[in-house]
Amino acid sequence: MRRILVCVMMLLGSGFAWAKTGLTDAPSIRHQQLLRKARHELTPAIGATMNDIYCRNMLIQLGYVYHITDWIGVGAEFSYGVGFKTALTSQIESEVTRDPEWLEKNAGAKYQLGRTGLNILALAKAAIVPFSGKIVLFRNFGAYVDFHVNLGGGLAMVKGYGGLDDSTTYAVLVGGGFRFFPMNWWSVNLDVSDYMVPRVLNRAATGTPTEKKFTQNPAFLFGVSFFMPTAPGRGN
Amino acid sequence: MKLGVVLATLCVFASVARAQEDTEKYIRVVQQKPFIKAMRAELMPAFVAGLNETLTSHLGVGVTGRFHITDEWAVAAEYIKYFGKLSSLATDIGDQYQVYPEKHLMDFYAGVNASYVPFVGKFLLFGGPIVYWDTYLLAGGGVTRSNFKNRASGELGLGMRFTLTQFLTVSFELRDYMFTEPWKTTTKFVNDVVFVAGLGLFAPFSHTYKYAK
Repeated sequence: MRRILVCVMMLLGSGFAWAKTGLTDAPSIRHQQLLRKARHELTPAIGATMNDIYCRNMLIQLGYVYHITDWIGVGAEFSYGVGFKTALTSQIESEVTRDPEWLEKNAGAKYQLGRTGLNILALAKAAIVPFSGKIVLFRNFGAYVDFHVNLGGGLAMVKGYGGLDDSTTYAVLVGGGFRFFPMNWWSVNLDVSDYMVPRVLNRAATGTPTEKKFTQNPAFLFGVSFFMPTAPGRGN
Repeated sequence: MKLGVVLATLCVFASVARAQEDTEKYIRVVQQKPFIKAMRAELMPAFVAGLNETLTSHLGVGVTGRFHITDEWAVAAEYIKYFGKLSSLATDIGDQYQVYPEKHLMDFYAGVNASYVPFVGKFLLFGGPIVYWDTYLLAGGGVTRSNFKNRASGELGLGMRFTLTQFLTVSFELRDYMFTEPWKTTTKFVNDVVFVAGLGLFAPFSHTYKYAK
């Protein structure tokens, strides 16, 4: 009889143990769709730098990331930039052109403010995804979303305008953004990336270039990512 | 001995059934929302930083009092006190080009707004704990005091609110305060884009469901 009792107690104990571990050790999401793990991501994007002093840069970008796990990936990006004058540059040019002292030396000419802009950025990067999850839009439409952080560095080619020389230097990337997955093989991306580049920013009216500075160039980028293989894996 | 085997078998079935019952306690057909905003008030002290400035730089502190009518819709009153100064660039431009563009500093903004939540979501933090969040759009109007004059202003914004506890949230917002301002040579349409980081305190401290789980 004692044996039976011991046997019953052990079985009850094991039953409770099973019941407890069934929930407490369970992952937050069972059979999670691994939208990034072991997938290649190809991203064409377009954007512009923000808050520029003398030169605004429109950027066309192609990025690639291989996601080693669901939360870390490595890749590269290539950006081509075209520079445009800011309103401040136009204002300075028009005021200097009207300056009698400058007009006396440069009769009939129009003053061109010497400035630099981003031309080419070729960077290697690591992409970290600390947050990933789901959203519901207007209580109806569900989609997956993640927040990612990009860290990287590489080569920058700086374009000179208004008589300043071109130069080649390095760039550091710190950025982040959101990926919205309407379907599990493509996503819409909104990113803000800060491309930090040492460069001569402008040239004074006297013709002397200013000192080289480590400039910050935050850019807003809109992109679409395509994932391969098209079907994501599943978690435990 | 036979009795022992029968008892043991019964116990196995009983414990498995109990385990299943325990699991079912936590799995419901309709899950209750973990965080309810409807009919609750929110007080959000915030830090403010100007984003689209070159010749000036503004930092500020603000407070928003918001009442959530439903989980989606809310109305709010807000106030921001700015601390502005001229940036070093303003001095550099004067030195380098002998050009002195006009600069205006802002003093405060006070106004009201309405907000709507189109997105709600949840994030896994590195595959572990779940963080609930929502995104809201806001629109409103008020008064910006700039260059010692009050200017009627419109406001558009976008925010993300992360739930920390039943009564505490962290919000990050982009707000654009728009107003027209006469300058010496022309009248300008000014976009004052600011980044806002705030801590939301909700009252009552939690939501009580009408029915039990």
